[in-house]
Amino acid sequence: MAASEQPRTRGASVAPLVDHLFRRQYGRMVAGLARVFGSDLLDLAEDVVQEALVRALRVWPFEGVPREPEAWLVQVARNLALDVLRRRSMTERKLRELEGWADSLSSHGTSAPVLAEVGDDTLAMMFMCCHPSLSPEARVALTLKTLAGFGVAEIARALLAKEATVAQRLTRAKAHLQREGATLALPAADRLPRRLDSVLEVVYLLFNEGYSAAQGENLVRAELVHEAIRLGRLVLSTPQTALPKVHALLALLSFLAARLPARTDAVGEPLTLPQQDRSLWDRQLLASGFEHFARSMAGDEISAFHLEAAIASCHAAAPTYEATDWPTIRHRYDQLLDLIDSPVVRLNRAVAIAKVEGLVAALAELDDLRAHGTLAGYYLLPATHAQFLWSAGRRDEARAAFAAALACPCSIPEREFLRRRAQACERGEPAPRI
Amino acid sequence: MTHYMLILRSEPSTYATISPEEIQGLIQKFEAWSSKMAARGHIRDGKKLADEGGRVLHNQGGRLVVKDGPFGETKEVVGGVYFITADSYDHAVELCRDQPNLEFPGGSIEIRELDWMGQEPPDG
Repeated sequence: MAASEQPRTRGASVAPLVDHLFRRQYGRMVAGLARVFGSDLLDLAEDVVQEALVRALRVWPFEGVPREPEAWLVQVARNLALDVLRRRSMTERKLRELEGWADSLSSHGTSAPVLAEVGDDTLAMMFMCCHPSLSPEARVALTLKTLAGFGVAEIARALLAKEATVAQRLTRAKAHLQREGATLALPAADRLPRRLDSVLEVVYLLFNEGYSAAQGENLVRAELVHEAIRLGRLVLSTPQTALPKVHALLALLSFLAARLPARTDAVGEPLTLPQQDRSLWDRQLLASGFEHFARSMAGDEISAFHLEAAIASCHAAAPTYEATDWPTIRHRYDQLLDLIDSPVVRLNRAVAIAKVEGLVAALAELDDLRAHGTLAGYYLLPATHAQFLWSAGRRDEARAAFAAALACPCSIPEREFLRRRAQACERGEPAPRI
Repeated sequence: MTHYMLILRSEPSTYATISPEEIQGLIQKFEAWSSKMAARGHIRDGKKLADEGGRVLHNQGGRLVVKDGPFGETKEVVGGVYFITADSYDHAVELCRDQPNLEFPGGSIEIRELDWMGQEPPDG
């Protein structure tokens, strides 16, 4: 095979493999091959790509890593795909498409932004994986598998699901897409807005899955944060889909991801916003957040992402917690509630109410939410309640609320955090800042 | 210094479910091992064996029998070989202790000394 005749290397003469190169290359190659084979043969495209990666595992240890690893993988995948096309007696046109695909990827070699046709294929694949007729869970799993190159076991770990469940979800999702006759192409202009929403929802979900758990105890989950940002940027890579709303989402994700280095203390305990050392916030992500935020202002649409980004930007812009512009945050929450009447948004707004109007108003808001009942079992409602009661000096009630919060399901670090707060409250210590 | 051949066996049929990230991780481990060996002057060469083909010859009562192989009985295949130098078998074992082939299901390494029959090996 021609690819293995490339100059071999032994030892340190070649640059180390770029982080996640195999994952990235998996997504790129599956997207390209699925287009050549036809979107109904997604499984076949995945098998070919997997085989190409396995070939590298069998050859490189003895022959060394080739100078252009991506090009090597593309050549091997091309040869394997050629066999598939011949076996299935596919048309001459398919063969030409395959050659075109291999040439476009190989000539790019290791150079950085492999966009143009390649980006289009990947973006089209993203739209297919995020088809609105699939459940959000199925979309997330399929995106991680085919686009981000995660293995089934890794997806299971990332989404806290069983491997068998994930495998089944993937099989069903693919069968569903096949029945629906989903195609690998960017949706037509009239359907683009709805299809784009469905894609952005997946980016948002992926990010939240990672962000809510990114405490270092589960590395794969933390990776979801960066994967979500990468996929969001992919949507921005094509003018048709680079809408202001997408910039708003990227702004939000960048502002939040910037806080990651400050979200835990030296021993890995979670730190709340008032406790965080803002000098640890990632400057580059903050800057990119503000840039996306500025670009999200084009056009008339104010989406939920715009408002959430605006709230996050207030935090990002405040040099200290005390300097936070709470009245603006409160106003943005009001606007957000006009757009989506969600109890979680109301719960978040309660903090802004506490800062602007005081604890009495905030507690009244929480009482209302509690009476509503839709957040029953969600630990953050009683936890916030406990915090407010404690700050208001109503220690006995606060104790009961902490107990209620601890009775709800939540992650281990969150539970530990709650337990420590509850104990401090018990000991009669002053309430930490809200 | 004594010359040894390392024969690396594994079961490629188990590779289908390794994730791309894990594949990359394994390749990087092989690279790290090779680099370390090269830096210390232990490694001479490595060679991947072709997946397809292979013939096994036997003499059955004066008749040459040619079989395709070596396939069939076992899922284990020789992936490739390395030629290394070491002071002794014990030393060679020591050098292979962190060889990543041992992390594969069914992965093994056979170490065989090359016998130069009293001659100087090429390149010292």
